[in-house]
Amino acid sequence: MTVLRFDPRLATGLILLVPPVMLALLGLLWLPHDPNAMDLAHRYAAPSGPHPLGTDLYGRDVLSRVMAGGWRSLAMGIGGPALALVVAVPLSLLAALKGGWFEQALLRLNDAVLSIPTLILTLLIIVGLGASLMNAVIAIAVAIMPKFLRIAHAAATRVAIEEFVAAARIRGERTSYVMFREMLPNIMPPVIVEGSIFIGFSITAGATLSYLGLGTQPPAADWGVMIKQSWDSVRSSVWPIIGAALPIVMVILGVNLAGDSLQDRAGISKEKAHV
Amino acid sequence: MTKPNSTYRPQALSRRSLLRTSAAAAGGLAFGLPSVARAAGTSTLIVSMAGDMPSLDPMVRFTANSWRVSPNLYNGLTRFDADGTVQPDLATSWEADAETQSWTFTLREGVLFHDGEAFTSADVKATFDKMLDPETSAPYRAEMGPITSVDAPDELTVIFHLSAPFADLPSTLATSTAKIISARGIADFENITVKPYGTGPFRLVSFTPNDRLELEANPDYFDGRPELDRILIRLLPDTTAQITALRNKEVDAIADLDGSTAIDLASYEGVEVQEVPGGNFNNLVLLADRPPFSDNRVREALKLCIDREALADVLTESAGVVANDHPVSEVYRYFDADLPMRTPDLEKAKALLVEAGYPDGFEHKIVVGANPPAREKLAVLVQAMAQQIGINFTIEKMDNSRFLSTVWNKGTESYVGNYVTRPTADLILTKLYHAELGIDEGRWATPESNAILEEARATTDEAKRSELYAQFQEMAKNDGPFIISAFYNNLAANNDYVIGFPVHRIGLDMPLAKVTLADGAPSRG
Amino acid sequence: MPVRFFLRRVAFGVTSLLVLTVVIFLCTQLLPGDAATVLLGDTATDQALEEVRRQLGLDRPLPVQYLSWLGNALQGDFGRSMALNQSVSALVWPPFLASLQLAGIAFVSVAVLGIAMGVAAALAHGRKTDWAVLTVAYGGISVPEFVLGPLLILIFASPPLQLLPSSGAVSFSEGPGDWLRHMILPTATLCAVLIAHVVRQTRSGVLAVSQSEYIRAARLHGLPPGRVTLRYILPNALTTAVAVLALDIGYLMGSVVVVEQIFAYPGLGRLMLFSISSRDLQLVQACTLLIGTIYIFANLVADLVQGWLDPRIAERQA
Repeated sequence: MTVLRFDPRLATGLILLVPPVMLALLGLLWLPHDPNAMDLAHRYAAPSGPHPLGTDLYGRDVLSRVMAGGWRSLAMGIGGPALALVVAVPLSLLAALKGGWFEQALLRLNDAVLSIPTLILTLLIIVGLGASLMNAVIAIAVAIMPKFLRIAHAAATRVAIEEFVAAARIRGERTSYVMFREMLPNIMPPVIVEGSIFIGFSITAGATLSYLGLGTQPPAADWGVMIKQSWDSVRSSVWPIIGAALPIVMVILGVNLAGDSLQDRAGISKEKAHV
Repeated sequence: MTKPNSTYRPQALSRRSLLRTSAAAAGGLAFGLPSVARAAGTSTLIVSMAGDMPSLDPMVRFTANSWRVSPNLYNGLTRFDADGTVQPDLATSWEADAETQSWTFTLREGVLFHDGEAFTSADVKATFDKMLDPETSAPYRAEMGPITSVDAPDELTVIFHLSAPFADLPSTLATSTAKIISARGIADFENITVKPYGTGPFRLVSFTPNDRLELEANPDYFDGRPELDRILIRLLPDTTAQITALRNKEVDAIADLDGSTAIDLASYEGVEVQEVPGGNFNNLVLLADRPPFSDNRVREALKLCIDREALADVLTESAGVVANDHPVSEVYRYFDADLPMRTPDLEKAKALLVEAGYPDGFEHKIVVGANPPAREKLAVLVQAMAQQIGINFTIEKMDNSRFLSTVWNKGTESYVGNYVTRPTADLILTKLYHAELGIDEGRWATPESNAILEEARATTDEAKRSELYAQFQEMAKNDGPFIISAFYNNLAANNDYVIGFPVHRIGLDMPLAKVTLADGAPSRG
Repeated sequence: MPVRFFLRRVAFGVTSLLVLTVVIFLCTQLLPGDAATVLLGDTATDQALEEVRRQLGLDRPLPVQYLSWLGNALQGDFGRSMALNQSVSALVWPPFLASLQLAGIAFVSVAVLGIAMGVAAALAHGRKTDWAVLTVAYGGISVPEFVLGPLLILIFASPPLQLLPSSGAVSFSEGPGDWLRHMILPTATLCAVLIAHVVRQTRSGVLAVSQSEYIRAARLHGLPPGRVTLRYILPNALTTAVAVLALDIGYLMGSVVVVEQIFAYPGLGRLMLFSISSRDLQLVQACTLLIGTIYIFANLVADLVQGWLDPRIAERQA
């Protein structure tokens, strides 16, 4: 690996990620107001000292709701893809190593599931599982897993025929050693970068699920739900939407910038095309 | 998480009455309108609706949107005008026998169906035979009244036989689910979802389920050819798209609105918002056959902590009126205007809870379906207000299908129901409170309460009926198993060149036969 | 291209399709509540429910229901929609064609713009063009569809601009100009995320190839830069782009659902959401199967194109 060159994309990406993540984490410990406390005399209030982002249709403090709801959006937006990755990567490594009917069966099943539109599949799964935040994360993970599996498998197949893998197997290393020590580091960059495109999707999907009564339960908030519910009153107040959309945009942009930067490094230094 | 304590602060009373325009104009203008300059070319009215319209079937597979459309394709024996009064439609007159156990309707002569065939009593009989057949599973079968059979002694007479006295038959027959389908339509019932077999002022041109419906004027309509040449109904699910389309004159009218959209639209020049009182409501169901709400002191405590003015204002976005925990709104004939509105009294509420054995309050769950969003809104508001007296509600939101199949009317949990205006006060009361004729949603009915409803629907003595329904409203308010805090006004919006766009007080009917377009209407080839 | 590679790919496609039918069928069986409860809604009685269920054949054992469904589906008969009481096959075609137009235009735009921008960025690596392309791409990727769609309506369709219609669709035969005007906003919303994706993958593909040993060797041999780009870099980079595009069809199909709802576009996505919310299982199954088939077919084509562009892939997999 060459010496780490300063990449403004990586820096910008990380800088963008810090505020929303910090806000969400801080929200677990401390909030300016009770996020569910109503003040019906001050609905749709514009930003002011006590309410830096104004109030929503029940007169609840928007900033507190953005902070309190952050972890849920991050759970769906990052937790969903992360869970998918944790399951898909070992499976694809195993398939690439073992080959044979296991690989074929996995790939055919994967192609079949891959062909159902993600949002529809997410809906079908969660409607079957029943509504809760945990189930929303699971449904999102299951729905996007095939995409990870496909990318990981493509990368793993290329790695599996490399000499160092063959060498390790001849040395008599255990399968798990070959999978996780030899192959894993080489397939992670493309998988992680691919994964970043699904963070935006997962937050959006999570919001759709919550809106349909399948995710976050009222009166709790998450960023996606705040946007969805505030569209109807956007002409009364635009602040709930801005307050919730800004962190989403920052997270997506941040992860994408940082991910691309990492991919470029990995790609260029290893001379490999992706997928 | 922070601990929610007194999370609700009451609002200074400031009900905006922003809109409140043409309750009378909507109905009044529709009739006897002075001649209006017609826009050149064909006059086409484009109306947008949210939600789905999968079918045009008026009897079995209907939605709110197909209800709106049906008075344009079909007629009933009777119909409601904009004020909610019953008017002749395909029947010109009617009378009941002494016991109101049978009703005789005289039919209009010389009416033609869209297929050119004459309308006769055989079509009426075919329609109701189909509806009464249990195989049809017509959802509103029970709300037509206790009809047992229909006779057609001659071409222009039909007789409805009832199993019990029922004074409201002419009203129930005015609903959108009782439209008259031709005998040929009944024979071809499997295509009724896409192929209307009616007598209405407009004929079908094309229908794409859930997307668009195009109609043209029926030149043979018995009440005269409509002014409009064409109607296009478009289904626009997204509010932003809907508002933009109206302002761009891509559509001329929006058939249903929520309060916040109405406030927004009212601010644009050239857009008229119509608002009339209605009877749609959401009810929080408190099961009266099990603790904690089996004790009326607990039900009353909850009712006393509700700030109705504030709740109604938020729930309806100022487009509604306060309700008194019973489902009879001012649009019904037997609404008791003298029943005093309950005012909040937190001290009394807390005292009642102590008396009932809940000095520290209690925890309880409310289930809401995702549609319409008002279910959730009501639950969230009640949750905040009830916390003041120590009742801690948790809310479980689920998708509508699961809600309807596992929670609604199962008698196991508290939930938020959603009801539209019925033709008569009797129907909504019987539906919600009667143990056998209705669903007794709150598991609350007693032989006495059932008897009041049965007696009231059987008598034709107006004074007696008023007295009985007033008695029932008071009972429902003081003892009943529902929190009902607001009735929604019925709202619509149109560009100002549309004259006489209808908004009804009762039901969803949207009859467009008398609508005209003035100068300024966009010309459409 | 070896025949064996071709046959193998086709066999894979068919197997996937068969597995898909099972997955779809099981998924739809998991849904709680059925069309009967939704149809009757707040007016249901137990007796009416059972009657409707019997009429729908919902009371038969699962494998029987699956086999009879599959058998009929193979003959193009997807049963009757419960909510709309019409033959499903007749119902799904018009929205399917509408969605195909929308997705088709979006796909072509994504492919052309995405690859062109990606290549341009890579060739201008680190310079202004590169940054400009990347900025546009990142802008597109960071705004979710359900925010971008209404935003575009507010900007381009509302007063004062009013450049484009806010929603709906007209058929091509009614007027190609009008048809196109209705397509622009939904297509733009669909493209935003995917162009970014394709740009980035193409860009890194080109970069990776252009810095590889054999391109360096070609340059060292004194081949003109234009020729190196056209003959060696582009075909290699294109394999990457094709693979990414094939995968994106899946994402595109998913976004179509959201976008059609915002723009009131009468397509299959809207029909699917309706069919799920009304528990119209026959309709859910037919829509999902139709979209799944398109996806599997597109991927089959992508595989074959890749095999044609890069015969080594075909050799290896044959």
